[in-house]
Amino acid sequence: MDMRAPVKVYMTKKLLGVKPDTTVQDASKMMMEFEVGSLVVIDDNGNVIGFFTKSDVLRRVIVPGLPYTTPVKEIMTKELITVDANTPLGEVLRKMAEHRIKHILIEEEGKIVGIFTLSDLLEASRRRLETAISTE
Amino acid sequence: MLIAHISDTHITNEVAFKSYAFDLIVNEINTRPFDLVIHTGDVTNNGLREEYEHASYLIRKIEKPLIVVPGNHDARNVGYELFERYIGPLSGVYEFKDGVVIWVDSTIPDLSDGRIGGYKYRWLKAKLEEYSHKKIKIVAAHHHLVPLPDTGRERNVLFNAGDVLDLLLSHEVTLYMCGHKHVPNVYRVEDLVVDNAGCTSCRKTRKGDVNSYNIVKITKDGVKVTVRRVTGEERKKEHRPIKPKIFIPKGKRLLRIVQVAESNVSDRRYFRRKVLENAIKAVNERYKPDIVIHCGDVVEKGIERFYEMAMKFYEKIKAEKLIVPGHNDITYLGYDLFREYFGEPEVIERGDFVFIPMLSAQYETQIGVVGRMGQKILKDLLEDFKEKFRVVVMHHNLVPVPRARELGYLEDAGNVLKIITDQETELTLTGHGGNAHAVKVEKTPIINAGSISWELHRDPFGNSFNLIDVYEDMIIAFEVQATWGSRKLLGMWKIKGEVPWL
Repeated sequence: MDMRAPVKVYMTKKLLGVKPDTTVQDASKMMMEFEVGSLVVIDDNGNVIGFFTKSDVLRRVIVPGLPYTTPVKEIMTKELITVDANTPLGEVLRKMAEHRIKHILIEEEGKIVGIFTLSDLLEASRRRLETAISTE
Repeated sequence: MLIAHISDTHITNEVAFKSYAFDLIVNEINTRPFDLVIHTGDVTNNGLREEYEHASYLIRKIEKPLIVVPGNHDARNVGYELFERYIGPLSGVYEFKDGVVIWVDSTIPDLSDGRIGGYKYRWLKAKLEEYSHKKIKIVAAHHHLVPLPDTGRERNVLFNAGDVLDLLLSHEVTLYMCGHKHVPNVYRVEDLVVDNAGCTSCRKTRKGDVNSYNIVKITKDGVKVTVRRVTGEERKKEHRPIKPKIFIPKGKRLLRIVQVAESNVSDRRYFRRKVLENAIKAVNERYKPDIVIHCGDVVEKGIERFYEMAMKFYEKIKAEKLIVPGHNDITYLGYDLFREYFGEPEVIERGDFVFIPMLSAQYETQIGVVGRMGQKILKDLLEDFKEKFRVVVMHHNLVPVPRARELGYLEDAGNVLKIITDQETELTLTGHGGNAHAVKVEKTPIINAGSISWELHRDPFGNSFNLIDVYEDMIIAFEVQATWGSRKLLGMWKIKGEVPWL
């Protein structure tokens, strides 16, 4: 794993999303089906307007006792913590540690283009961009 | 940015060089508004000194900024040293306003094959990191990255094409430019455009083709490549990447496939019996697929005892099965035993889906072949089932897999890949190389399964199988660790072509 490599090398470039009016139950079912820990919330123009994770469901739905039919727009995080796609991995990890977050959204020219999570970090530590073919 | 992409000029005083084609193309380049000219190698025919002298004079006729990449012919006879003296650096970087061209020497002295070995790979990686902020990133080398059609025995891609492809895709490279086999071709691999130039001025064209060069136009929307032949005929192809890639699954899941490969059932230590038992249990109880597809190497050697063992494992699978033989399966008496135990692989139709098995294993060699008749059969089947969601199943790789040496290829991978992509096949599954991997070439996701239970694999994730779910408007593929059951996303693609349900 190379701490100087831009985070775009290791991020997940394909995002799973839901519409703002999707219920938290449907969104949670989707997280289970696709085994992901977070989803982005997309408006009709395809822009990312929010983000939420499994722990947001616990913290903002289950604990306060909101109904399962609550739309995700009511519990999503609207103030997104993002980094630029060219930020070196080391810096991204520092930012995640500072904010104590496990998922961070990656942006490029003002658009969310990827996500980097702790599982991506695990993957990055395993899958090194190297070649074994020969030294030359 | 408008680039003229020339290649394989093969300058010599022998008959191989067609000076009129060279002059014609250079004249065209000089009179059109190109910003840059890139020559992807084989400037000379044999790397000889008189050829280099001749070439350095001729390429000066190009009145535009010029980048020249060394090819295998230039490296012949220690020509790589002369290249630096007469032409320029073997590898380097050229910056322009929004972008960068990084070219790298992929030659191996006195061999036709290519390789971007450790030092060069690290250099390329460092350059990609350095220029990460550039919007347009172009990498140029002489050798192919994906198999090319009409090249006969396709054995001249980079030895480590899988690793290089992985690097370029991770870094979101816009364009890979190459030459080598004198066949003009353009593919998109995910969002990377792979632009192969034909030959500019060599007599050795394929299929009676004429000399040509490629015109590459890069805008903020995408890449457009025009293959322009000396006859004036033009063929255009354009790719406009969509960003961001956000998926909102629609409707129900229509099909679930479990794809496995290289179980290599045997009594050898390398065969992990427990892992296979675990995986089969998980497939039956947890994943409950509609179909299990084994992409070959069911047994480690084609002997009766191993087939008997394998049968005991695979008869436990509750779902429908489709098994194609790999090269291990047909060793010794395996050719007959495979059919005795698992039957001849046949086309399976299942509602809107059709599974087309292709036989590619050859007797006691790792290298596969579909063959010219096989290609015709494949093409006919793909046409016959045009109305359905078509899944082609075979053992050998069609695109290079990271960590694997190109040995696992099909002899005719170039032609088979062309048929599959031309027919806009909805999905292709392979199972060789021991590493799970998935890329979309043109409109076809091509998914390779790693090894499910054989210790000799190349997958940092360990033994695994793939879980592929087809929804109304998307395909999603996961790799599942065979021991722990943890999942990793391999790929997700929108279905854009015609499918029966849309």
